[in-house]
Amino acid sequence: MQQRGREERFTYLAQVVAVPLRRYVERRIDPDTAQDVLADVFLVLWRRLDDVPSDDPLPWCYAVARGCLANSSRSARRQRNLVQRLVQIEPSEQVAPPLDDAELYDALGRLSEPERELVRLWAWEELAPHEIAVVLGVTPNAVSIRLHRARKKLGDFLDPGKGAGPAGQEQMRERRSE
Amino acid sequence: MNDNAPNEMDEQLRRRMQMADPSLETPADAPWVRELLEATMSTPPVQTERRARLWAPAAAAVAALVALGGGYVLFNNDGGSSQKPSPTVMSLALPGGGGTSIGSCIPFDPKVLRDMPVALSGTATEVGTNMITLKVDHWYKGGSSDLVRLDHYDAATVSIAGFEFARAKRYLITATGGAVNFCGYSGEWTADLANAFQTAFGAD
Repeated sequence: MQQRGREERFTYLAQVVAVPLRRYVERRIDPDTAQDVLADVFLVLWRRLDDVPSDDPLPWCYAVARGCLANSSRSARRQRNLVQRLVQIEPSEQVAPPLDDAELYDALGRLSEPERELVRLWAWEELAPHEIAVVLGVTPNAVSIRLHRARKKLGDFLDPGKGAGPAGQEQMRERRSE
Repeated sequence: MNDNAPNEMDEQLRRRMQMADPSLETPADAPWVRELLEATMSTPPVQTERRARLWAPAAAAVAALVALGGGYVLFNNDGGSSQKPSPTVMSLALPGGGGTSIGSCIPFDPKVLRDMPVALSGTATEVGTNMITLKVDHWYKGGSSDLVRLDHYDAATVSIAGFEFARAKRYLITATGGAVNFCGYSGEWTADLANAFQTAFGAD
């Protein structure tokens, strides 16, 4: 591909995905780190431009962002273990939840990380199960089943009067360390 | 979409989550998109180091690239073959210069030292108000430049780390992510610290 054509294609892609990708990252990591992660995502997209699907590129790009976030979290953990110059008492890796719906964030916090990510992709990125499947690298059918379960669990946490029993049992079964 | 069609309760849940979305609305034509785009496309294909914050001031991005790029070579490119090339320079940042403070340290561990991506021995040739230049006498790891420039120098912060920079003194330095490490992983040259570096990074 000619360089100029490549740049034009990347420019077009950026116009489509930059804002959703930034929001995706900001929803999952502190704003300071989000800037670095987004820069990494763009570098990957630039390098792998030929692999980006021309039809509906966003889920594929979210999958890249998910990988970059995982790298960033690993490196942050390593850094915390290694690095000697701690400038914060508690480095914030997670997004600080808004204070106006602490109950919701508390309920989200009780989901396992895979469940939480499913619900976030559904509610915040507004992806359909087949798109979530691209992001997570699983089948759409598996997404549908797990999403249904995660939503139910979240709903039960928020409203314990409705079917708390089964959700509680699922929680006991599925709670795993992150 | 008929897969996993949400019911009314699901829709209420989604609306509630969207009300609590921590991400701010961002205009699609915001300058940061263009800046991010240009910064990305100007990156050489082999560049794999973490980039700077691309919608922060451009100067910061340039500084980080220099810092992380493994050295920045400046040549006197006037065609004169008798001209000696300028010394090569790597830039690193000193922590804490921007008003942050050093919190706490983990105990010194040779295994941690071994994992440091940048390690060198050098003598301070210049100690400015906010910048230090070291003439490198030995690269243990992560570079090959003649000089290392330490930016964001703040004497008060550095002194908290247990040493001070002074001209003509020799130092052992490690860095991670373009920033110098303190807490015993950098310091004035001593036989003990040099031995630790030698053990961690191998013989000369």
